[in-house]
Amino acid sequence: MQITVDAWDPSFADNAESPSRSDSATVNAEVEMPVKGWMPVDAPSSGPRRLLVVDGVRRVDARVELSDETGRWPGVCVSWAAGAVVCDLDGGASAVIESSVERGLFAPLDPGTDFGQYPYRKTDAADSAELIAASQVAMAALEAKVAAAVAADAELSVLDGTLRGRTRLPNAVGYIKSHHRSYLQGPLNGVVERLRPGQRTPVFYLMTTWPRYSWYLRLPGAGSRGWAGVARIEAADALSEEAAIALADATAAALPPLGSAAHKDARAPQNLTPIAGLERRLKRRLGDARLLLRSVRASSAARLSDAPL
Amino acid sequence: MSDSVGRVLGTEDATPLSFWVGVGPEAYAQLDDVLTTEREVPGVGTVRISGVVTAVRSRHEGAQFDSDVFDIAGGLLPAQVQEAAEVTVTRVEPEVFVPPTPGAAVERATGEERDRALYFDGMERQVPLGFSRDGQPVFLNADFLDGTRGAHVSISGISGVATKTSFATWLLYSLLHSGAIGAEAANTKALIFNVKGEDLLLLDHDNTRIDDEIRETYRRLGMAPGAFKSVEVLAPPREGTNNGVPDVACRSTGVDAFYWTLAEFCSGGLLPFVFADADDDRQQYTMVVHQVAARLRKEARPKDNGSVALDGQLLTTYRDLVDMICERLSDDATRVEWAGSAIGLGTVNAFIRRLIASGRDIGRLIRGDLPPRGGVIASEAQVTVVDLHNLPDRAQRFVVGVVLRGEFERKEKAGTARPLQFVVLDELNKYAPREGTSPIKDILLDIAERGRSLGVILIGAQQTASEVERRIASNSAVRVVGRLDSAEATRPEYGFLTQAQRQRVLMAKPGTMFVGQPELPVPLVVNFPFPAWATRPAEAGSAPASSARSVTAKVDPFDLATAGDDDDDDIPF
Repeated sequence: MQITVDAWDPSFADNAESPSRSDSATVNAEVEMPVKGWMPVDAPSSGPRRLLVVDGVRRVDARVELSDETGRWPGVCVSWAAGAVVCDLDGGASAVIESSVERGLFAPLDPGTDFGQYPYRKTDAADSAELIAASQVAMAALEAKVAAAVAADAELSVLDGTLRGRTRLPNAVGYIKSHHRSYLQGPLNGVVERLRPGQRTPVFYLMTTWPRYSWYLRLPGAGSRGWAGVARIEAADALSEEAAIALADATAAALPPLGSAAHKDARAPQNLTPIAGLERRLKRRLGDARLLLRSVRASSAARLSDAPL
Repeated sequence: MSDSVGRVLGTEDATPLSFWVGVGPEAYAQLDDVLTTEREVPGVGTVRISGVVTAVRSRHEGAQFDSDVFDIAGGLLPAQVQEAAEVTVTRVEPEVFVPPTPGAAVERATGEERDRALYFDGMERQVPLGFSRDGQPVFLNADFLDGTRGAHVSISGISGVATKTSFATWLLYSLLHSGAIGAEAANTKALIFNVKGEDLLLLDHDNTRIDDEIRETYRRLGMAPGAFKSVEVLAPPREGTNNGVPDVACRSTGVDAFYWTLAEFCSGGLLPFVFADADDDRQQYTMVVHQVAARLRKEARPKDNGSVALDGQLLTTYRDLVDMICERLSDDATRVEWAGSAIGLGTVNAFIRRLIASGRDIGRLIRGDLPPRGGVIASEAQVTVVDLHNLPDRAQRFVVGVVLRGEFERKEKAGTARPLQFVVLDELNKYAPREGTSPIKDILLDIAERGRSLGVILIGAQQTASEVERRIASNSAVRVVGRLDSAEATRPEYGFLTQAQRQRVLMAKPGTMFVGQPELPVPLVVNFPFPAWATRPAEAGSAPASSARSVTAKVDPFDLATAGDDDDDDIPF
C-alpha cells in the first residue's frame, strides 16, 4: 500500500460547510407567552457572574491519498482541540481551565502502521467532505468531554455550536452564531427584527431531528436592524419550561457584555470575546501547521523507502 | 542550593552571549539576578552558562489589541501573563561558546555557583563593593585596583545624586579595612582632594546617623563599621592672617595649614602651575612663564622663614615677588634677560596682567613669613585630605598640580611601587580636559600611564567622562557610573554599560553604582552602604583623640606628668 501527501495547501480541503440537510422543523412558540402577545423581552438587571465557555477548533493538516492494488482512497490528517474558559466577572479574571488536543487520520483504509502523530480512525466515506464531517463529530465529542469535566461549578455554561449530544450538562446552553435557516413563521420573525440590543425573543420549543428550547438574542454593537448581531441559543428539552425561561433570562443578562467589537473580530459581535480568546489559544495548541505537514510527509516518505522495490 | 526560575525561550534567539528566559508561573526574576543553565555538548560534556539578568519584561499572551487589556482585566478574555528575562552571559564553563538549548531549565545561582558566574571564585583578594539587588555581596578584584593587573578608577555621575565622592571614600575604606590587601593596608596612603563643601574633612569622625542595621551591612561585608583611623586634614591658611591658621569652619582640631615658601616656589619652579589653565597653554606667554621660572630658580637666594633675596632685594610675600617680576619685565634694560629675546611687548604685557591677577588668588599659599613645611604631605597619617573648597579656581589648579607633582616625584624617586599611594580627585574634567594641554593634565596623564608601575593609583571622579582626556579614562581598569543625565549616557564612553543599564543609570538612586571591572563582561549594579564616617558637621560624632592632640602638642601633657613622678631631677616645688 502506498500513501501520497497532496502537495496542495491542506486548507483548500477544509470546507467548513458541512452537507446541509433540509430538515422539517416544528416550532411551538407558546412556551413563554401566547403567539399573539409575542414581543421582545428585556434582560433582567442582574445575571450570572461566573460563566463557563466551551469551544473547539479544528484544522486539516494534510490531505493524503491511500492506494493499494484494489484502488485509491482519500484521507485527511486533522488536528482538533477543545477547551473551556471560566470568566469570573466579579473577580475580574478569566482563565482557560481545561483544554485538550487530539489528532487523527480519517480514511476508509487502514495504513497499517503508525502514521506520524495521527492515529488511524476508520471512516467509511469516499468523499473528503464526509471525512471532514467525521472529524467535526470527533471534535464535538472532545468538546463534550471537556465540558463534562468542568461544567459542574458554573452558573451558566455556554457551549459554542448546537447543544446536540450535550444536553445533560447543568445550566448549559448552545450558542449558534449564524443562521442558515429561519425557524420562526412570518410575524414572529418580525419580533426578531424588532429586538433592541440586549433584548431576546420569548422562548420557543423547536423540534427538528432532535428537540430543544430556543430563543434569539440581539447583542450590542452591530446596530439593531434586521438580523445583525442576533444569535440563537438553545437549551435542553429535558428542562421544565420555567427552567428554560430562567436560562433565557440568564443569557440575556450575561452574554451581551461579552459581545466582541467589530474592529477586533470579523465575526463580531456574535463571536463572544472569551470564545475568540479561547480559539486563539486552542489554535496555538494545535501546533504549527507547516511543521505537522512536514512530519506527515516525512512519515510517508519513510514508508516509501521501507517498501520493497 | 539553586531554585528554578524558568526555561530558555525558543521564541527569541539564544546566543552564547545572551539569551531570554521564560519565567515560570511561581517564580520571578529581577534585574541583576544571577541565573545559570546547563547543556550537554557532544564530546565536551556539560557546559554551564551563567549570566546576569539585564532586562525583564512581562506581557499578555493572547491579546492582540491594546484595548484587550480591559477585557482581560474585566474577566472577559482569557490571556496569560508571561514574564521573560534577558540574561547577558558572564561565564561559560568550560569555554565552549554554544548557545543554551531552548527549553533548558534555568536556575537562580546561589552560593558557589553565583561566585563562579561573577568570577568571584577566581578573585584571590576581594574588595567588597556592596550588595547587589538580591542582597548578595559584590566584590572587586583587588588585582585591578592595586596595580597588579590594572589600576585606576574612573567614577562618573551627575553632581549631587551620583554620590561619587562617597563611593570613592567607601572604596578606600573597603580596601583598607576589608583585609583584601592584607598587611599592606597599614602602609597604604591616600591623598584626597576636597573640592566641594567640607564633606571630606570629617573622615575620622564617627557618623552619628548610622544604626545597627547599617553596622550589620558592614559586618556582612567583613569589616568593622567606623571612621578612618588616621587622617590629616590640610587647609589653606586663612586670608589676611600672618600666622598660618588653617581656613576651616567645621573642625578645629587635626587640621594643619598648607602653603609653600617663596624659596620653594622659586627653587621648585612652581610658577608654571600658576598658569595651569588649559586656556593659558594656548597663549604665547607660556614661553615667558618658563623663562621667568628659570630665572627665579637661578637667581633667588633663600633667606629666613622661606623668604628670598632676589637681586639684593628681600621678598617676603608673593605680591612682593610679583611686583619685582613686573618691574623687571617692564624695564627695557632687564626685559630681555627675564623674558627672553624676540618676545613681543604685547606677550609680556599679557603675562604681566595675568601674573598680577594671580596675586589675589595665590597670595595666601606662597609665603615668605612662615617656616618651611618640608613637603606638603609631611605627616605619617594614612589619609591626607587637602581642602580646596574655599580656594578660587586658579589656586585650586595650582595646589592640585603642585601636590600631585610632589607625590609623583617622590614615588618616582622611591623606585618601588609599594607602599601604594591612592589619589582621589574630583572634577577630573577640569584638571584633565579632553581638549588642550596643561601642566596638571601632563601629570595626570603620567599617573594614568605610569602610575600603575610606580604605585600611584588615581581614583578620578567627574560629572562627564566624555569631557575627560581619553587616555586617562581608557587607562582606568575599574569604571564606575552613578546617575547620569540622558544626553551623557548615550556617549561612547559608557559603551561598557548594557543597553538596559544605560536607561537605568538615568534613574539610579544615591548609593547605587554600576561597576565595570575587566574580568566581568557586564557591569554589576552595587548598593554601597551608608558611610560610617561623618560627611557633614551635623553627622559628626566625637573627634578621635589623636586629632585632638595634634592641635596643642604631639605629646599628651598628662603622659609627661605621670612619667615625671619618679624622676629625681624634678623641679623642686
